[in-house]
Amino acid sequence: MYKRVIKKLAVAFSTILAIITISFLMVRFMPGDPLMHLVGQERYYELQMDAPEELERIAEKYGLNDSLWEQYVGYLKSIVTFDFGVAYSNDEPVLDNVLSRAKWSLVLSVPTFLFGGLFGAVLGVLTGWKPGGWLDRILTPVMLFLNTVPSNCIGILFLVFFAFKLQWFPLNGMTSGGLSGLARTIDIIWHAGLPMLLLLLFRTASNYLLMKSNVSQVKGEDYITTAYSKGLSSHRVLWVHVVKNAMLPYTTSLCMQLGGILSGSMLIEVIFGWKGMGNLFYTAVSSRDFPTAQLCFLISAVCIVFGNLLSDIVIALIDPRIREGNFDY
Amino acid sequence: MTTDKKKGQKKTFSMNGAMKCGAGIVGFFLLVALFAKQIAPYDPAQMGVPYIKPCAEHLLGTNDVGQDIFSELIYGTRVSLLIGVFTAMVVTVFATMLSLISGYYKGIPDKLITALTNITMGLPSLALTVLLVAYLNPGKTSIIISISLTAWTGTSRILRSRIIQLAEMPFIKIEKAIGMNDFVIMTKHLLPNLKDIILSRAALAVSSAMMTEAGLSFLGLGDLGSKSWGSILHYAFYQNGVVRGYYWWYLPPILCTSLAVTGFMLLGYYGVQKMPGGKKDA
Amino acid sequence: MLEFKNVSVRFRGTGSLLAVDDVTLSLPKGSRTAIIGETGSGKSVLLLAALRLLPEGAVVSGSVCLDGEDLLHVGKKRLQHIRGGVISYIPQGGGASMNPLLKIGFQVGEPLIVHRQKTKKEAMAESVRLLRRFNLHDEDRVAHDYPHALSGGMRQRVMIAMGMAAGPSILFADEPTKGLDQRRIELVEESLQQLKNETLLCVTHDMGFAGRISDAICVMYAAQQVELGTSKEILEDPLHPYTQDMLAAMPENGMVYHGKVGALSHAEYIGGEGGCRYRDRCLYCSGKCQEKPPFAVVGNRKVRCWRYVAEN
Repeated sequence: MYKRVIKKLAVAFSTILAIITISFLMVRFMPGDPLMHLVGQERYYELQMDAPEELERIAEKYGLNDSLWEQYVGYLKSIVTFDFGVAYSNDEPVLDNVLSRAKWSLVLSVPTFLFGGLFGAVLGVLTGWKPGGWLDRILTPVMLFLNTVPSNCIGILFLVFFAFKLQWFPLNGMTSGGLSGLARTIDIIWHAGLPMLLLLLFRTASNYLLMKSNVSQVKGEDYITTAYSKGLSSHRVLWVHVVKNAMLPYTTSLCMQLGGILSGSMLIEVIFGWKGMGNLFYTAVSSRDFPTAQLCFLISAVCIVFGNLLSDIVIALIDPRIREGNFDY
Repeated sequence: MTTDKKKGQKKTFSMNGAMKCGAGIVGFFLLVALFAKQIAPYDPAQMGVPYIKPCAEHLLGTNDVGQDIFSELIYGTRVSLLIGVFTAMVVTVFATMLSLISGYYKGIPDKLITALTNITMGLPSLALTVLLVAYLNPGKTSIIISISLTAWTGTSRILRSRIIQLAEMPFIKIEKAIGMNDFVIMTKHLLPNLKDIILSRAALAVSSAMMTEAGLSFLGLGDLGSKSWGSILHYAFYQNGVVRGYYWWYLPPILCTSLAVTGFMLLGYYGVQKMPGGKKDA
Repeated sequence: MLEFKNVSVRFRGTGSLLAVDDVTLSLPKGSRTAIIGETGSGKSVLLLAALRLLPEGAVVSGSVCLDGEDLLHVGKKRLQHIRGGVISYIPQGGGASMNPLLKIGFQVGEPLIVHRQKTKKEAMAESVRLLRRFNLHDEDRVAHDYPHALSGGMRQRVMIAMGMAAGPSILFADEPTKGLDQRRIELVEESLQQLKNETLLCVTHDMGFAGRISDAICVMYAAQQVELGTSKEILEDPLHPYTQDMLAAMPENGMVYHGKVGALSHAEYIGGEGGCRYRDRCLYCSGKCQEKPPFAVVGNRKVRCWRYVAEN
């Protein structure tokens, strides 16, 4: 168990290092002046016009005139000390900007993660256990479709139908403004309704398909025949013997989804004008604000690495074969 | 399922309903892409009267600068399919090569490749793709590269475990024992046995690559030179086509994307079900 | 008293192929019967069919009567009561036959929870006693461990203990010696000797083992019964050519093999038209063997071979 955790920690650490290295190299080798990526395109041109000596100073600060290795060490140092630079848009530290947006992403993604995990599991167990029933015949094609079609397509259809035609939901944004207290909270929930519904559908769909295939696979195992032979009711076989085994890969997958909790809903955030981290990342990328884009990227990468690590630990806690280390996935 | 499928017959190539449906959709779009020049009534770049509703002259109306949307859509098929299929090819070939090396030779190459797979799976794929597409020179090649970079891990994992199983089988062991060339064993004996998995994974790869491309170009990160379905949707959304209710503008690209992605998914989904699982007979 | 009457099993999608072809067998109270046959002869399917444990695609005909009650048609509740409560099935001891995520003690004691209304704790305590009774040393540790920690021989004994947990009167054992070495087989034998008044029906391909644990033997070949009699008679004086060949091929009998290998695999025989299914490999094959031989009574046993029909 400990050996396994250490091994997984090593993989996690090297992944993070790989990600940092990628983002370092990206700045240096992308077309254009690295300095432009470091300060953001707009500010770069601004400074070039007004204060070229300021640009010189920044280049000096980032050590762009040093050797690549020295730059790399400097880069690692700035990351360890959480120094990600200052955003040109509002002169605040990039870190503060990103964190304040991340909070809004969580408003959307935490509830959908929880309920999507619950609904997907329950529905998947039901249809996986009794395939071919009416529930299966209705749900499976719908879920398969939801899981396949790009989220922006369905997102726009929902926007047109529920917000534009029926006017049940606002078209865009997070609040109507000018409200406070309870009224404001309700307003935010109203604004969050449609993107949340969509994310919930997507989560449920992918979880449903996974759980369904897990259950139908476990159902065919020899130990299920053994369980029946002991005279257990099919209810008991399902809840005592099937579900626990089917939950094993499901839990792993949930932990991995947890990694995407900040960055996973970018398209939906963009469509509904939800000012979360995904939206910030998109704005940063399209306005060539590299410091912000880079930090968003690093944060979402670290989240995913931790999600994977968590899934490795959780699976070891559930599965005695892995816990004792004589079995590896 | 009403059709009675014969079990256990490996060689016969039988399609079930879902797969036929998928093949039909894919075939249709391939034809459209091939004969785009003949089908499209206008040059998709040609401008004219904006915001015409669908009529006899413009089957699907025009957009904000008066381009014929039907023609755009026909030409968009080319771009969307091209990126999807090429990406899937790159992904599949790369994954197959890596998994052959790691599953067949095992040992240190396997350890290295597995580590590489694990690390790549830890990367935030969409974020990395967006970042790369945005900062590389825009164009089809950078889209294909950016999507491929993280999309190969699933196929590679599945193939590797299958190759490890195959390598333990007598017919491969005998070939190894008589000193047959590794390359010959791989191409003559391993690949034919992996054909079904590779093809179905490739179909699924097209589906997911098209999905990613649709998202990227919707965000305006696509190929600026030639519009894909996603780019049409991008303009429809950002030029307020959606809020003004110009359904002929935003609906067709959504339908085409959904249909094509579903088609490839159905093709691949069937193959996945056909894959040898751990089933034993009692 | 358990009686199999004309039991046939067919799997949907395999045409007219029968996995079990017209088997009739009766097990008086307290009897020990072994079914012998090679892999694919249908012997395990027969056991599963009696308890309706076959997958959905299986079609079972005939009847399996437990004191006059046809198991193939009893209600769901009654069937659950019989499974594990009256008739226990001991699965093949492969690694997949126990749930990898549940404690061994829990799985052994589970029949007590459903049939004897025991609590989880009581069942656990009881299963520790059961494990000791069936030759598992260090039973406390085993009960609290998980199945992956068991060796093949241990797992087999654990499953015998699991089958005996709720005190059934009939025991079905499916290949209890499969994959075990001589020492382990002896331990399994010892465990089976622990049974007192229970009826035993054991499926195996090991003739020596069958002889030691049973008092009656039924030999199956290609889904059909070919010989039925007391263990002593069958092992000392086999009548059917297949039984004779099998016994002659055993190591202790000098591993004699006449080398006549059939052109068809026996799976093809099952699908084939009538006639004796062993004819291609049989030393005594004659023209008569193109017709299906009856399962004829010879003395106090039954044999499916024309040679004995002619004599009578």
